[in-house]
Amino acid sequence: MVELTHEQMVEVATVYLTSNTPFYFFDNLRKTNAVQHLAAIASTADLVESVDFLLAQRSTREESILTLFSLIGALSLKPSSVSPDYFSGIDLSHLRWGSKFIYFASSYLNNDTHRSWTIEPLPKAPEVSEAVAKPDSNNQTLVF
Amino acid sequence: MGLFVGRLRNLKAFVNLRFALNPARNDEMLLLSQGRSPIIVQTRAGNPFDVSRVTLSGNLFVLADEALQRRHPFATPRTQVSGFYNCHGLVFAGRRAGIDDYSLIDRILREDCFEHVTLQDLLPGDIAIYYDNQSGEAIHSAVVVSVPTPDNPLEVITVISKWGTGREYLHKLSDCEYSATSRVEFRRIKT
Repeated sequence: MVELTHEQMVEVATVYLTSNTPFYFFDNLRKTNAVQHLAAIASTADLVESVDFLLAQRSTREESILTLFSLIGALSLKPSSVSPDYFSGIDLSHLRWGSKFIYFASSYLNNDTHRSWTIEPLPKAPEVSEAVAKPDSNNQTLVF
Repeated sequence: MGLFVGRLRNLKAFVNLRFALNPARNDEMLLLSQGRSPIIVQTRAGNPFDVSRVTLSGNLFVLADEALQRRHPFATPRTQVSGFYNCHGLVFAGRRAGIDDYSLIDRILREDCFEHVTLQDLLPGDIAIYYDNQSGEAIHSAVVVSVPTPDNPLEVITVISKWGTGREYLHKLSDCEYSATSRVEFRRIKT
């Protein structure tokens, strides 16, 4: 069983706490030292085994859930050795953002983009405003 | 003695967090689960949008909250940690619920008739949207509370925002978890 240290766990909890959207959580979790370290030191087989173990437990302890997210994030960093189909067999719907997280992980392995996916049809969803997505052209954007 | 006081403070924060975030104290439901908020929020156009309410607890989140405050010592916490709303919920849902679908933000901006505001025209009360540089997703939003003026050109742009399910902070526009990888656009509602 692959485990996170206490410091790594706090790092992951901080990302979770500050995330406003599921993609932000997924994207920033993958950038944490915790997940980068997991991906570097653990083999794909070890990661998969740990994911399966935690899924079988269905624990609601915060440590278990954050570890589960971290393991899946680490697996998404191993595109050469993980099949995207692997994620389709994982059900995290009992967790907040769980299904979306799995989708993002799978999309990254597929070299896909998360934007092709929507949670559910929105009533009268309008086109995305061009003005919103465009970079600054008129001093309307502040880039840090 | 110092150690004891420190531990007592941690314990107090932990208890506060549990009560603040989990008033029902239903331990079967609590961790990282997400519930539909009973609140219905609509845009001006009368279209409802999905809002959520998060219940979380645990010492890890207390430590995470403390880590955030150490990382941003000049950001002033305004509230306790709360899962009832997030940054978008603060700006667009009156602090009553969370909004975590990024695609809704564009829709709300459009249907509520928010207009772009230039830096020169920025006023307190305008809103700031932080867009991720890579994905273009609205990862954060805030309410502007102070801006530079001709009388006070050294004033910095200060905002109030909520950091996820963490606390509300009063902070400089760039002094937050989201600024390193994002650009900011300012908006004002059209009346």
